[in-house]
Amino acid sequence: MGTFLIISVLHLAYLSTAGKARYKAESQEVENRVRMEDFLYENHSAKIGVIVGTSLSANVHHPDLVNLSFRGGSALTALEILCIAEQLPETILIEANLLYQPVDREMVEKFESDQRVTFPMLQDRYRPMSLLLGAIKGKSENRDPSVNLQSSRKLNATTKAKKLPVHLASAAVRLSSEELTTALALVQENVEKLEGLGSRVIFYLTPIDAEVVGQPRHQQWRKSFVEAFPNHPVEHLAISDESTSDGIHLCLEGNLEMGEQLGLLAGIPIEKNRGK
Amino acid sequence: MLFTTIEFAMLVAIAFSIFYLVRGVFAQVGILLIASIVFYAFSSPWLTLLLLASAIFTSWSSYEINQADTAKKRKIIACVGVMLNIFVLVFFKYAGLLVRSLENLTGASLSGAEWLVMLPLPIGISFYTFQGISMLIDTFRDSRNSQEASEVYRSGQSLGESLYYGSFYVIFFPQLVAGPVVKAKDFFPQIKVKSISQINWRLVTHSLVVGFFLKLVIANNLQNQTFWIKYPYIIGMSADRAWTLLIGYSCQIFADFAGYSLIAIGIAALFGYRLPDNFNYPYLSASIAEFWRRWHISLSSWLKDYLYIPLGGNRKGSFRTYLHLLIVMVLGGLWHGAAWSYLIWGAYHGLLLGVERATGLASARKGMVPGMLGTWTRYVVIFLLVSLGWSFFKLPDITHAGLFISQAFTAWESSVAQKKEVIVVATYCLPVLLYHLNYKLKFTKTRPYLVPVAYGVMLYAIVVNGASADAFIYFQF
Repeated sequence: MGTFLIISVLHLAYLSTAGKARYKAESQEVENRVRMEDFLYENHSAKIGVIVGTSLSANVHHPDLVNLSFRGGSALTALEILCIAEQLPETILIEANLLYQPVDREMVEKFESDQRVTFPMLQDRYRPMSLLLGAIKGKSENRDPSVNLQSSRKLNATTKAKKLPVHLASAAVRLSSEELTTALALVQENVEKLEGLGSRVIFYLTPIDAEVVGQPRHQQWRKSFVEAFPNHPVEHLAISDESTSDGIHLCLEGNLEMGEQLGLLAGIPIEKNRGK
Repeated sequence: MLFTTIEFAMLVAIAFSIFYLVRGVFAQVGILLIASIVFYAFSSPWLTLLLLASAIFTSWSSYEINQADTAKKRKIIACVGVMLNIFVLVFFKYAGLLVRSLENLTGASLSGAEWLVMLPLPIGISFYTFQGISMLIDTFRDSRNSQEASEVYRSGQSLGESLYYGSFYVIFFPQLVAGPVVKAKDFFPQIKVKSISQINWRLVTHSLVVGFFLKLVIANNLQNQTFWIKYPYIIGMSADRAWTLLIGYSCQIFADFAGYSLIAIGIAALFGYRLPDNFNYPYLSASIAEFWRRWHISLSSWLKDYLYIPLGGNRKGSFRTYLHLLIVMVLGGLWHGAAWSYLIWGAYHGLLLGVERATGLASARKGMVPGMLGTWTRYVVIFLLVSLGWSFFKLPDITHAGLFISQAFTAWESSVAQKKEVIVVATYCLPVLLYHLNYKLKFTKTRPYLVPVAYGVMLYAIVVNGASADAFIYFQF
């Protein structure tokens, strides 16, 4: 018990001096939870909107928008957590491409009854592994994803040739009727809640390669989604450079442009964005 | 109900506080029976009926074996009891696989048998049916040696008592859903009045701290990395990444299952019961045969006692010995899951055992490289061979497993291993390595002050670096 207390005190002392410096998520799950922690435990009153999506939107950056896109996760998870958040932004931009992915109930429950506000050392940002990786990396995880993207590995044509079959295979299988109905019902339920709380909800689709969009799962989902939400037109973002690194994820230029487009949807003029 | 949930902690706390307040073995066993039913019914209320029916039927059969006046009667009852347990296991676990395989073989659609595919898999069915079979066989063997005191039955036990204590043996909650598989002859002698002063707190502390650390910190965090060993993500995966993740999975599956077993041992010890050790530093094995003496010991021992030796073991010539090894390993593989990849995994180990036996490598402690270096080389080779076999565990579709293995050996030219992934996997595998090294190099024996330090570090890691409480890998079996 003595060792436990000593290490805990050292950890707390380190956190109080180092603050938020030197952090790197060990996995997508941890990164997603840190995004959510940052949103829930920080004051975002200056932000106009929230982006809720998946890895397709995770690299988008806009100074007036909070990005709650979960890599390898579900946009529905973020929507569920938003419903219990104390502060809600004016606009919620929801990426509709993969909105059928199942909710991570455990993550939702974690944020419903959370001890981490009282005990910051329990936050994912401060996990020893996150701190260790941060220390090895030698600098903090940059919270501006466009900068991260610049420094990330160069995805070239060979990589795309390797990754594209993965996304084609994923999208080749149709959703079961149960998966489809559950996802649509959850979207409906959460959107009604959020609109009831005064937020404006906008659905958007990120551009992905035609070869992938043509797969049965995407076709099935898009058709069902449009039919289920006749009063919520889905915005197709007009991006001039739609090239992707792997069939579904936009390259750097596309992401920068997507940030501007989403800002416009939320009512923020491009000039204002560039000015920041 | 998972061991890592607050509901389970509450169940144990309530059962523990009442258990030592009541007097007499009957009442104490009653508390544990109720706790076991609550534990199982929490996640599978309807399937609890199957569990209870199975436990009661097996206990009744055992009682009848004990009461039968002729050897022939005893044999018939024992055979019927064993067959029924096997039937329950096959029906709920393998019917779907058989239907799908028949459809694939004949090309015909067996739409009338679709309900068999949809049958729910009762949690822990492989474990509790094996324990049931153990009770029947042990009772039968006991009854043949009537001059010796029975290890399973006390003289004068009534039918009611037999059903009561027999059911308790089958459904005792710490080991109900994923073992260790306890043999009846080892468990029944422990059914006595327990007092709080008899608790082995050292065993409880060690088992629970190390068990929860292995599960929450190592296995669950590694799971977030090894998640990528999954179709379609394995398409185009580089060889170095495949090996990094596979080694991570080897450590994950050990941490997950050894963690579960330790927690089960710790919880059972709280109630005064000693469950058998299930792992003995398996990744320090110099041969596959040694690996199976160290990995999932309770299952290996069960298969040896109730399958390998009754088949004839190694007493019927070389050919039959190899055949018996293959049969036992194939069935042991299939026991893990209703997919052909588990059968292949079993056959893979059976073949390796056969090769070892034929070449004399199983018994020889020295390999081609002499001394300490030779021993450690063998540890590494066996670890890699075992790790390769886990591909069939992680990817139950044989074609996916084949693709993954081929990538692990061929995709070197397009290597894109990520530094971060290697660091994370290596860091989480390090405690598993230290755990094994401690056994070999005896750090904690020569420096006992390290023990409380290690417990403190593990507790701290559980609190601040534990990952989500996912189900244990072996729960699906």
